[in-house]
Amino acid sequence: MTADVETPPSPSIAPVPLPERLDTATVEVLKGLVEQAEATDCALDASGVAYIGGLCLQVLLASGRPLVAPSEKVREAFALFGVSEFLSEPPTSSSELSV
Amino acid sequence: MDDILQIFFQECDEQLQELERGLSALSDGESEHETVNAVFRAVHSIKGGAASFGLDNLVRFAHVFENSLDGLRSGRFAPTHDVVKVFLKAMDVLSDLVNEARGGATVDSARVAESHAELADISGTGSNQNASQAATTEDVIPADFSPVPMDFEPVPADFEPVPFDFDFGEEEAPPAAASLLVTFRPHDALYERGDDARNILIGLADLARECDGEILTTCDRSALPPLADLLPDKSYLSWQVVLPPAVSEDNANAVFDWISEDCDFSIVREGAEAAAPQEPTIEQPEPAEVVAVIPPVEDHEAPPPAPTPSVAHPVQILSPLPAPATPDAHPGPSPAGSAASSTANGAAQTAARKPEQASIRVDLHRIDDLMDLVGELVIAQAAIESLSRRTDAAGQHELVQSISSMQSLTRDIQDAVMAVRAQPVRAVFQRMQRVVREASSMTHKDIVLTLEGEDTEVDRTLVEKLTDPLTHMLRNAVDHGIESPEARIAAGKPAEGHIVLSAEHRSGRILITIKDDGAGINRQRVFETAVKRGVIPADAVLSDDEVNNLIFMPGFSTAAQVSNLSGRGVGMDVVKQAIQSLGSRITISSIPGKGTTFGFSLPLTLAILDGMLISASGSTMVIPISSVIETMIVNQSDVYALPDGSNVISIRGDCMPLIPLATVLKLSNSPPPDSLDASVILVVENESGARAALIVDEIRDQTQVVIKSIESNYRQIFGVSAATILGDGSVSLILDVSALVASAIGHIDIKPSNIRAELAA
Repeated sequence: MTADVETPPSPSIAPVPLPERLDTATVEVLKGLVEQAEATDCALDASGVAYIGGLCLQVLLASGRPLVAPSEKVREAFALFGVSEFLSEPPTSSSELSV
Repeated sequence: MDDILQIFFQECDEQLQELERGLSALSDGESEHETVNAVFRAVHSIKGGAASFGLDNLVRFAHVFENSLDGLRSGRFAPTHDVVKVFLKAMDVLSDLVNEARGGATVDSARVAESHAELADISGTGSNQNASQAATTEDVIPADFSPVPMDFEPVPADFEPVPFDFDFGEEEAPPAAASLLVTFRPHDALYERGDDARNILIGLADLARECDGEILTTCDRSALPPLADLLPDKSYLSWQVVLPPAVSEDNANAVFDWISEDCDFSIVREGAEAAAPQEPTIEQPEPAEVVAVIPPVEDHEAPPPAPTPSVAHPVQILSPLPAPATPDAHPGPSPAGSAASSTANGAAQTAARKPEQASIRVDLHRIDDLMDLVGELVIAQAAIESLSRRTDAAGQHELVQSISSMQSLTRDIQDAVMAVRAQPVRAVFQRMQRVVREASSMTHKDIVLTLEGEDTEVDRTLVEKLTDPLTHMLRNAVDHGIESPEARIAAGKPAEGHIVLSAEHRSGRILITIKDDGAGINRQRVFETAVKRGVIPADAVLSDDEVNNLIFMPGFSTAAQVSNLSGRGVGMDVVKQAIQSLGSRITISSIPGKGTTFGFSLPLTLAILDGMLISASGSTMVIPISSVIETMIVNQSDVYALPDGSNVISIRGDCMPLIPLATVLKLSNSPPPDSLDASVILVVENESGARAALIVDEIRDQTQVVIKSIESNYRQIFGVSAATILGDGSVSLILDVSALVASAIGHIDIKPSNIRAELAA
């Protein structure tokens, strides 16, 4: 199958995969990844994420990068933090581009 | 206050044992709900008690521990091997913190922080365990953080603490009509401590779920800067959570109990704010709880003879007459009253603490048994008194009968008192779990210690004295006995090593064995090392048993390098001395490739001994019955003379040295008679199974004797272990059979064949 048909929101470059645990210890790493995604204008791959802490949530929210294929855990975490709407309607330019 | 504190520490000891038992069960795969609950309760009780005494360090750690256990209890994660390991480690830290609170050594804060981080990690909370380990050790518990003081009175009789945690002992508040509005904004410090806003939300969600409701969370992102300006470790977000009406303010407050300093928060009843502002400030969650707690204390005070702390039991019951005021027994009301005044400065008191008080807990029925016997004794004494006034023959006969029944009564009382002093070895054995755990983590080995016969009871003086030798021996087993995982796999064994520590009663003594499945003693290397260290000459011819025993020589160690644990050559000779002072000797059996077994047997008490009264050259002496195998009359044809003038006797094919007791002890100067025909001999055995035959003049009686130390009253004498006073008032010596056998065997190189067979097996 061709990837560009399968994942409409993804830009030309493959999404940046995120680490499994986004806890306080990984917040710096995450910021680096998000900045990298920002620079190359690509999405973030949240399929492997199992844990999101408060600080990492801030980074994700601040970046406004779309999360591709969020795992069930990510959905739960966003619901817990009361930011589910952020997942369903990524208000970013990249998503508009692909639509 | 000190009395209550003392009871608290006793409770802690019990809870820690309970914890250890529960965690062992968990690690054995028993993850029933009840086990998990028991573990949780233990930690919770310690936390509750500690909070009431203002033991901040303890409370803080117990809280984190409890939170993790709660994750286990609510099934958020399974008790896997790794999880249990973290819990075991945390338990060690907890027990050290208890000890610290008691006035013991200060616990390394890095260790606490490490365990803290691990616990936080497994419970799925945010933790900065990996990246900022160094920072964590200092910052996880800020020095200025003080938990909300729990201003409640402890209930000494049953130390079930007051539930101040939201999910324990659900005290349902009457549901208010309006829903509860919680707003909070975490500080940066919250994250620095390894906590996470997520946990607060989970806590609130749990609360809602308990009331079959849901939370409505709104995240306030107004303070969030664009990514470029965002500092990763700064907290920007705040939340507003609407809880269902059934959730009480107290429960919601409890979620913030431990983070109130690191988080701005407010809890408001929606709509009810103007009408009844019950909670003007959130900073005082405790008043409601104090009200809830004090009544039970008063309940205990009301009936004065109500359940007093169990320490008081022995004293109270043993003194049937009300006259003497017993110092130990504190009457119910006083501790509570004094505590009320001193709870406030409880924190200040934690610094200066009295040394540990010696007290034991005894089953009530044992005291009752003893009381019954004492009653019998009083009756028997009255009977003897009245009989002794009679002069007729029948009276005399009855008197003799009465005295003999009193004899058995005395024996029963002795047993009953022994039973009061007896304690299961569990207390010591369970401590060994930790020794092995720590030793194996230091040596990077994976070792499981299995305990057997922990319920075996011995005199408490012995229980206490067992700790040190067992610690040394187990460390030795971990360090030298069990091979490295690689070597084990190469030898076709499972990578996980096993050590079995067992206790059992065997013919009036308690037999303790430590068995490992390691490589066994490398006799070649032991021999070479002994030669190198000048312990033995290079041309010495030693039996396997003697080579094994070389490891007990002072200054001996085969460890290629000195490790933290052992290898300094001080351990095993200390062990040997300690065991010897308890009246035993260590036996070793080692099979190359299969493992080593250390064993020693201890008397049940150090105070009384069953002995055989013998006489030699006019002196009456006592030989411990446990070491006498048999008694017989010598047949001259079984005796063989050796070139050095000594004799050996062959009994059913076993040759053993003949020891003329009077001569060996230098009681008589006359040379032994030429013919030993018809002499009385006692075949005696030492702990390692070596036998010798003692020639005595006469066997008099079998009796119980009270052991009196001869070393402390006089000095050490060869062949004599102690002294006693006989019924006729004369002093009699108790013979040290082990020393006698050892000296005889030193003269004659002879070993019972079965010992060799055992070693060869």
